[in-house]
Amino acid sequence: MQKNSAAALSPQNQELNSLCSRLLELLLDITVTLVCSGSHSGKTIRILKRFAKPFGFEVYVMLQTKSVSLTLLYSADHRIQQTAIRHIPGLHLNFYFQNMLSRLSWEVCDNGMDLDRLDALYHEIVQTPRYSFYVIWLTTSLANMAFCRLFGGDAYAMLFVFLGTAIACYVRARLLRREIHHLFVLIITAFVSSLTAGCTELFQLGNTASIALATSVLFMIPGVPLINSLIEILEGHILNGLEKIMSACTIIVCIALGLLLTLVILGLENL
Amino acid sequence: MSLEQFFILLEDMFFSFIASFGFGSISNPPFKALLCAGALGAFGHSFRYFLMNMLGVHVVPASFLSALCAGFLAFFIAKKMHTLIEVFTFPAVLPMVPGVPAYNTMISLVKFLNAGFESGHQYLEQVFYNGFLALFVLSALVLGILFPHLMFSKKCWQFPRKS
Repeated sequence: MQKNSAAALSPQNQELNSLCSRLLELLLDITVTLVCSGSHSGKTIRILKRFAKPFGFEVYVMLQTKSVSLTLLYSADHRIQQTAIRHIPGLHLNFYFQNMLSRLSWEVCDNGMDLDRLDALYHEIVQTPRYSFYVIWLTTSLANMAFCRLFGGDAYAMLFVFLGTAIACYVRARLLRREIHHLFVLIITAFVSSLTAGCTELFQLGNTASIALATSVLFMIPGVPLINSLIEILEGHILNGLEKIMSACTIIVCIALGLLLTLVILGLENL
Repeated sequence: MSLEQFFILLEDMFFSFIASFGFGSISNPPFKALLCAGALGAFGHSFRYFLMNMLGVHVVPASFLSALCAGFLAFFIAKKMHTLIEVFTFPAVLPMVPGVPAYNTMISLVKFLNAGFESGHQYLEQVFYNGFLALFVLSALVLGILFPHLMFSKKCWQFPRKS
């Protein structure tokens, strides 16, 4: 401690110190953005190292589910060292952010960059809007309908799966806005979606009701976290990988619960 | 291959394109990449359909092979477009996810519990068969898609590099 405060007196060190704390803030922002947009641990750490290298710092990362801790260390003589920690909010997949940040990190690593410019470019990337909710609404419903077709559903099954997915997406968006627990929201969404698809069974439309029921909830399966968890385990981030698998399994169990509710209402013997 | 089979394949491609495109759009990739991901998904699923229904390959090796081919195609597309490879590989396997076996596992499990131990053992067999089928297909898909990731990992990391 004493050594640090004594060293901080010299103007050169003060400048380095302020650069370090600004870079640390920016890197924490970048980490949170990356993890939230669904990047696996190995990729996040590699990108951070690329960002820190041209500024003359080494970065050490401790990445956990709900928090991240970064330490920046001045590579040349280790006289500056700062650590900070930050919470990570929930997952909101965004491949655009991952892709652009990875690109930016290579640019910084190869050619170097001023910190102000890096900050501006980062904020430019983060402010890029997503596809609008209505577009996602339509594409998801169409995709689930096509899914039903691929599994061998007939026209009635396709129609009701489309309707079910559309209604369920709307319900989910409304419920999530009210800050209800996300797993509870999933149960309700799965119930609504499968109940709508179950109308084919209720009104005896077509004869592929079980396929309609099976596909109606598939759009909620957390595919990206599942694949990411396997990559993490294979790359050696075992704890993070297991955590992702567990959370994905919890989601799948909740979906199954919602589907089960529908099955109880419709009567199991008919299926 | 007869003309009829060709049209079945085309239809399969069309619907799996919509499925990959739609599910890919949830994760907000760039639009061009999303189109390519959809095309990869269409290729993967129709290739598996071809292997299974026209060459008679079992579903697990067929899934592995088509995921592997989709993975390597994604490798070249990602290299060309300077994009992360995940953008293409993740949506490409989505249409092949074993949804119906997973559903059947759950249904048979509930039926088994409902029928009781004495009279429900044929449901238990279905639970095991469907459960393991779903598990194996899923693992085959993920392994196939991750193969280029893991084999050329250093190259894959450098795809977004613009120099």
